[in-house]
Amino acid sequence: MKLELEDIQNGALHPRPLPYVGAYVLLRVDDSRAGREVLRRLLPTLGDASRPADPAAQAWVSAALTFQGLKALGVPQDSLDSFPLAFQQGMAARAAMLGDVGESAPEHWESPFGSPDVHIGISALAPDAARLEAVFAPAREVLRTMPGVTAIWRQDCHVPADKRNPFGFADGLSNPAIEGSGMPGNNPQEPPIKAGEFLLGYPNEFGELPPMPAPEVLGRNGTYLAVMKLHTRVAAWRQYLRANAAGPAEEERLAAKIVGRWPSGAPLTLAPEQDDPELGADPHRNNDFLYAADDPRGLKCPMGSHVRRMHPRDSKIIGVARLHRVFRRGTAYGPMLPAGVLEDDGIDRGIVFVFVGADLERQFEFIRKEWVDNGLFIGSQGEKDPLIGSNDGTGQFTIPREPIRQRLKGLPAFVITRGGEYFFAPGLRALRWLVALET
Amino acid sequence: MSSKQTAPAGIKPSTNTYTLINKIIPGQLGNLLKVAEAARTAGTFGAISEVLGILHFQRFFIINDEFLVFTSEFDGDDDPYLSDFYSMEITPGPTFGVFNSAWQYTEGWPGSDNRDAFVKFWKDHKVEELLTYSYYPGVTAKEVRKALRVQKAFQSVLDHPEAAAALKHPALKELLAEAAD
Repeated sequence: MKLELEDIQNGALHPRPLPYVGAYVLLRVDDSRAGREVLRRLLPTLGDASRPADPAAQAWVSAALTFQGLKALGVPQDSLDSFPLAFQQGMAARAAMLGDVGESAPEHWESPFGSPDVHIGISALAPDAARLEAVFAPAREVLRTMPGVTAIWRQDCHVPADKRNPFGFADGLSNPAIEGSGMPGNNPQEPPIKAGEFLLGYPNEFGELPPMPAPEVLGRNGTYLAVMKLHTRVAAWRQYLRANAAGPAEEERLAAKIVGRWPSGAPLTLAPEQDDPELGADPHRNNDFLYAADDPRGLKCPMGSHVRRMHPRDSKIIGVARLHRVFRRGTAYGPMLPAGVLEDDGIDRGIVFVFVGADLERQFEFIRKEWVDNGLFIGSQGEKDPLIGSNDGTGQFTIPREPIRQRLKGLPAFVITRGGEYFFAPGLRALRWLVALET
Repeated sequence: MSSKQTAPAGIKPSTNTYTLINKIIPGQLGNLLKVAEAARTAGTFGAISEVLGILHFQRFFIINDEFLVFTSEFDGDDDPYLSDFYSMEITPGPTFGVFNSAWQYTEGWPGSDNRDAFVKFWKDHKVEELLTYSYYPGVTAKEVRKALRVQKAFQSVLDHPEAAAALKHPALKELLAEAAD
């Protein structure tokens, strides 16, 4: 089934070429007419997926709306009521269920996250800072002249050419192929996932059309985003490795076992003994693997390691992995903690994650509840994701090893949620419909 | 107030019981019994459980020739896994099973092509338990199988003529304590 690529927002499908810098901006709409006027002016800048913007020329801009935002823009009540419950409630209301407790709880979130003021989210990505500002300068001017819409938050971010995240690991190496999109995923051994898992209006993995918000013009070619700002405790991570390993080689091995890949991105499954930077850097090879035949017990890549939890592939797990596949984009913010530093410098650094999918509950929320903060699905009851799970200093992680398995204990949380929200990223036709509302 | 037994040492019991009940369509009892007989003969009831790895027990029975009842012990909450169950057991495919074949002879079964309707059917026909008890609370089906494998291995160790000498090592103290019977 062919996708209406010309109607789908560019950012929903295409990976950005590296390196890039970017910014996420949140707007509050106090006047619905002004809000719609801002969207109207934004429309021409939004690339569509049929002609991905020339990466050298300009910034890629995407726009998405929260439930409160749709309300603030004057979307009629019966349309609002047709959106899924999770989206209506917003991420903060579901925090406890999702594992955002303790330090990650909404009461500690960075303002405006967790408040009803988050209405429009805009992301702009560009090859360099100058081209990024070329987008924001006119946008700032528009907002200045429109008192009914206010920018209430901005986060600058970046992805370096080597894709390293704040933990020093190459990230974002695995994304699914979407049937009909013309975009191959990066694992030749993984069949494409049905378009309806990521876009509304197309059949999903059940062969059914996922429920769509009404009216059809609003829902079609749209998708849902779960956006999270995650603070990474890099110093704590390095301290934990130091305390649990006898020497730097062992530290690197433990880190790789926790992540499931080496810092270069080379997967443990293909490079079980040591890092292989050439493999890590090769997009044709670094994701070309499965688990069941070669590593069923997790002796190379532990079942509970981060990448194997997030994408079990053909591992024997409870349930059907293909039903819980997400598209995700991660961009780093803040400076790297300099190599060899184990003391926290008090600087905020981390990742802004964006998950894209047609079913927030079955994809994003399921993964958090069942694959991140739970080990039941892999038969490791009581173990959470060792890298991103909401561990509290008592966490455990089993590393299969012959003759005797290794068990890491006393895992703290290395990632803290600083804020998050659910967005709806409409198709372009839907945005034009929104802009033309007369309420 | 929860009627679930609390597992020792404060482990949250991960095993839940659930029961579904629905009225058999008048005149369809015979077909239902044929489905059960076919599954029994072919040994296919439970095939899905082998794949899922979370069902401890499952059973169908009929009350008064009028109601079909299904009950099972299941690790974790059924809610998050309903989609997976639907995909494996309800939609036609390699694991399309007895579950779908049986419920189609009951009233209001929505068929096998609508996930949301299936989820609604499940929730509408679920029976809330009054009292529940488990002899080994908080233990998953996978852990039970692992424990049985370990037991089998341990027993064959004990059969070795040098077993007593091998188990003398201080690290094996707790195993030695289990060796006498």
